[in-house]
Amino acid sequence: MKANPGGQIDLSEIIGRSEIIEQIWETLAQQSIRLNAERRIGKTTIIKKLCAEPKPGWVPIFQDLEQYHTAFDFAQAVYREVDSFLSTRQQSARRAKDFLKAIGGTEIKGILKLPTFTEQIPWKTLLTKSIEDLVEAQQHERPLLLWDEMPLMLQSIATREGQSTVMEVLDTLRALRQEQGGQGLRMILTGSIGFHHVVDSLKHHGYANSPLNDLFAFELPTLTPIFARELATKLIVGENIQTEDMEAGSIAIAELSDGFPFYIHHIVKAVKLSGREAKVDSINELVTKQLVDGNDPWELAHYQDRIPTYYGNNTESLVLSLLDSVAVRGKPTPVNELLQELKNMGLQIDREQLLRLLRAVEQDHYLARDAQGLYQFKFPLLKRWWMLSRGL
Amino acid sequence: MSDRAFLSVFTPSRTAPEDLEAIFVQRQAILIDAVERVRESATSGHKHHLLFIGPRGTGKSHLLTLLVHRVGQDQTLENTLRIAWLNEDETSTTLLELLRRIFQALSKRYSNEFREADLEPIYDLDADTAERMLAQLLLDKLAGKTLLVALENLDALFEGLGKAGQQRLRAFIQEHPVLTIVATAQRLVDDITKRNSTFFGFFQTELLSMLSVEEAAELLGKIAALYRQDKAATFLRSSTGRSRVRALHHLSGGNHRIYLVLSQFITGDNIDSLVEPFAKMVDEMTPYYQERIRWLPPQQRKIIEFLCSRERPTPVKDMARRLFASQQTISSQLKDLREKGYVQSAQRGRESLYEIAEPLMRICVEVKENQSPGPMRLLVDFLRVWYDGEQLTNRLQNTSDGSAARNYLQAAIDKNSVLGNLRAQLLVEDFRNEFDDFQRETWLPLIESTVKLSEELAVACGELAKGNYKLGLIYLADIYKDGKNYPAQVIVTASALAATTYFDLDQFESGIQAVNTMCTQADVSSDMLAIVLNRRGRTYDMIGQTDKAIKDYSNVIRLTDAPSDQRAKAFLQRGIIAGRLGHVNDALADFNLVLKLKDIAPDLIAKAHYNKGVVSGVLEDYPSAVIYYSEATALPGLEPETLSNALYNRGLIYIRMDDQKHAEQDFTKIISLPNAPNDVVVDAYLALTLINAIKGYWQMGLRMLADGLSKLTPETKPEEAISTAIVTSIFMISLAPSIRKQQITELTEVYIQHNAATFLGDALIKHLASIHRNQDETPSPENLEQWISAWETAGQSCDGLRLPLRILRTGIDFLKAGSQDTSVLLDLNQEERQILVQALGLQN
Repeated sequence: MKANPGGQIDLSEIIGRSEIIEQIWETLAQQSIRLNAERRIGKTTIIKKLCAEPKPGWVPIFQDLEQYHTAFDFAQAVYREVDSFLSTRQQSARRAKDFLKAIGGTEIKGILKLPTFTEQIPWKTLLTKSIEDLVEAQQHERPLLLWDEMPLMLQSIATREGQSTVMEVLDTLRALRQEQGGQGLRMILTGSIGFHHVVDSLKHHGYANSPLNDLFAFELPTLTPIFARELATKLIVGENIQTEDMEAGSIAIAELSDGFPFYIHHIVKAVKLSGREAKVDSINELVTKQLVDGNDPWELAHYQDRIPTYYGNNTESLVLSLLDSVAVRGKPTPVNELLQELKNMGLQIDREQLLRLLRAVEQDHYLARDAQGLYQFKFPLLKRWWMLSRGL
Repeated sequence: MSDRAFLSVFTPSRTAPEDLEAIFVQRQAILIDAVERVRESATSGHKHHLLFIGPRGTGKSHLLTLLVHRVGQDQTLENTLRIAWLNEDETSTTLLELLRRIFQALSKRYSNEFREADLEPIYDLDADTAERMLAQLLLDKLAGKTLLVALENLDALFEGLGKAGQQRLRAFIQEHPVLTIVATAQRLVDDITKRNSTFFGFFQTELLSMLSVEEAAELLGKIAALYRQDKAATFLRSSTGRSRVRALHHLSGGNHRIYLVLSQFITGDNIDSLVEPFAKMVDEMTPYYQERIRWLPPQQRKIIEFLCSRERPTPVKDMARRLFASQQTISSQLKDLREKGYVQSAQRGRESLYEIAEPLMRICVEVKENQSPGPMRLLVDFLRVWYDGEQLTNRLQNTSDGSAARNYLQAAIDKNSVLGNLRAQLLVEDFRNEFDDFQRETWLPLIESTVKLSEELAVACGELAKGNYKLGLIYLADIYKDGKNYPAQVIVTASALAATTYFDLDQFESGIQAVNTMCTQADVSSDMLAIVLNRRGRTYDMIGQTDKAIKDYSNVIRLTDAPSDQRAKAFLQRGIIAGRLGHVNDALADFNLVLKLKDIAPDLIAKAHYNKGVVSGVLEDYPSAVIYYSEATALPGLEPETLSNALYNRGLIYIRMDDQKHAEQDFTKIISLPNAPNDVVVDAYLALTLINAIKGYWQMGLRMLADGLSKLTPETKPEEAISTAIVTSIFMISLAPSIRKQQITELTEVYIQHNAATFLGDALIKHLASIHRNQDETPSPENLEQWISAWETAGQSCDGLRLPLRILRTGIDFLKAGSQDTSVLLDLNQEERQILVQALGLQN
């Protein structure tokens, strides 16, 4: 197996995710899931594995939603996917088809040509009927909708059609889960942008529901050190990279990458291209080179650039100071110490505000809390980059 | 010549793949790697996506063509891979159009599997339905095979697709993992690099670098070989050829395409064959560069146009002045331009100089701005680089009136007469850019002066400066072994440089030969002769040929017009040899003669005094030694090494004179000297340990010992005599058994703590030897037994002391038995016994 940063991974060679996949199937028996993870942590790979190798009794359907920009785009895509799925089983999305015919759609050689609408598009009915068709067709199996990059689609819908349409989409999906859940329907919604940002934004517009609270919030972790080492070893072997001490080399890669499969692939590829041996020194040197490279090849600057977008311009300096304060400390930090330090810097913040802010940066994977409630950077790699880039 | 290979300058895909393979340089590893990744994509569920970035003319298409060729030739992939090599000139603004291009590319290559006619029904559908139908058709036809999409200008494709098109493409790839993409682009665009972009992190991106001088020479050499131009190939390998290619490198900026165009001329040696393809290249590229410049905001456009008109890199302040803008404004615009890849900068001292990043852009702007189409500057400059003045004149005489070649030759001659030798200027410029600060400071003045004598010599110097000794020495040998083609001064300099380099590399024989070659030349300057003879003398001395060394030094001394410093070094070295041979008076005479020389460095004067001190010390004339060392240390501006050695030696003399106070002052001063050599500092601490032990300040001594040993590095070799003296002092002074035992324990602990037990072990053996030598005062057996048992107890837990203590035990037993019965030594194995026999001097 060769290093393949960014590419698609052979599903039979995925390392270190069996336990999580098992947990997901167990959870699905009870409820639907929202899967949150930073981009490039491997969430798409996991849901593709769920799709390719379902547990007996499940029929999964995978869709990448990033490409849809309106509620109708979405409903139509779901209809088409459901229809083509059912047609492979000599079934058909009857309800949805009837509905479309009723409003003027025509069928050409088995492909339904959709009507052109001039007034408000009845996307909600199309979406609902498509899913009802899907559920109804499964007599002994349970349908599982795997929807990748849902928040990106919701953001696009918000831009094109306004927040109210987003609310309707979420409410419709929630209603479907409640109504069809008993018949076995499950969904996995994933996103690299936190779902909480979508919901927070809706709340600003007076939305009082909690459209996602029926979903189990599943946080996808990075690889454990053992599996990170296994992956590094497999890639070093696959790339025919010389090494006198495989164990030391793979441990170094596992540690420096924080268990992000994407960075493990990147580091191994960098070692390969450098023509050097997989030695601890050279690995260290290559990683440092990536972190201080002005071109920011791993795009870590995004963690800083997105702060005003995520938390608002007014809060930017507060978040930066907060993260700086945590970064410079060698050990986990209590809330009160952080509060005191921010006040000493002349920043206006009280304890409640700080707690809210800490929760937000925790949800966005900057910080993590330990068992004593003390804060530290979630990913040492990010901390290292943060300190280098902020000159701390 | 009809059998000559055809190399397309613009469309590598039109060149026979075998010829492309034959001239492929620099990127073998990248290509092999890419092929492996495509192969893995075709044979497993892994799908790699590769992106190669480089400006126009940097060989991206060449690389892609070879990749497609190699993968296409691979029979093992016949049933698992299909290749869609997209036409570079078409654009797509939707996923539908892209899919159609892919299908068409497939039908061109596999007309039976992918029939163009299958596309017909799709044209009747609306775009959305057509896209889905076509996607399905493609997937059905692929039937589980992997699809390699090879495409150029990914940046343009993404721009055409826009955000929505990119999202559809990404979703298609995610939902149907059958694609492996190998793409090229001229620059990294936000569509790929920004984390919130659709394709962030999707591609394995490789920034292709420009050709280095060596790679350019390899490319030109391969083209010459392909054209079967043996003469041109040989010339390119010679040092003269290299100097031409290096100067050319500065003009071309390492751009593959420019080299390809120039190669037509280099291998054909026909100016007309150069002008036409060059003009064609410029014609083809001009719209592209005009477009790129048009995209820029007005201020930046002005900067680019200004830089295009400059011959050389330009400082910010000149730009600000000419463009009526503040330096801050220009600087910030330049920063932006540099990030966009339009300009590049180089540092000269504190000043930043800027130039256009792609030489072709400059040429194209120049052509556009020329109202009357005159000769193109770069071509004129190329002729100035490639030909000497005489060659230009000869060629002009043999060229017919009114031809393009004649115009260019005349322009080159005219420009040379006004601006001088361009090749020499470019060589210096190129090295200036390539060197780091140290290399620039050390070597550039030499290169600037030698380039006027011989460009080949300058190129050799450049290689030596960069640490490419092997290559530099080959170039130098080309010069001094082929004596006929160069003036004597060049041969002398080349052989002198070669000699000193060989000596630096410890290749004594080659160095000596180079000096021999140099000595055969008439008119060798005394300066240079003195330097190399001194170096050869030192080498002879090192390899034990003392007579020859003395002869070389004497020859330098006889060169009365040589620099005084070199003569002083010769006197010093000859004196040191004389001293070593026991010719004390000769040695002193040489050192005294140094002191009579005028205008020599203080360090050399100090060394003369120092060596007189050494001789006096050997003669046990301690008061004189102190005087000489004091003369040495009193001089201002000494090297730290010279000063600290003089202080150290004087300190030791003071100890011998029982003047602990002054000794202590000298050693203390060494410790406080900035930049004193580490081993002298360690020795100074050990000497202070000894003094304190002698004075009875045992604990203070131990502290000094710990401080000194803490400074040990793997390279440090503390002087054995001092550790031995410390051991001796414990043996002599602390006669009360309990105190002695205590001191031995403490001393051993300090050595062990600092991983210096080996040095203590050696000292113990040395001390044993000194007891044995001093047969008149053999200590009592009880005393000796107490001595060894104390050490055995103290060192029992230390691995490093086990062997020395075993030897010491046997040695002591031997002494206790009256130093006669060698059978005692049989307690040791053969190797250990040998060490003891040698230490006690029992061989005879």
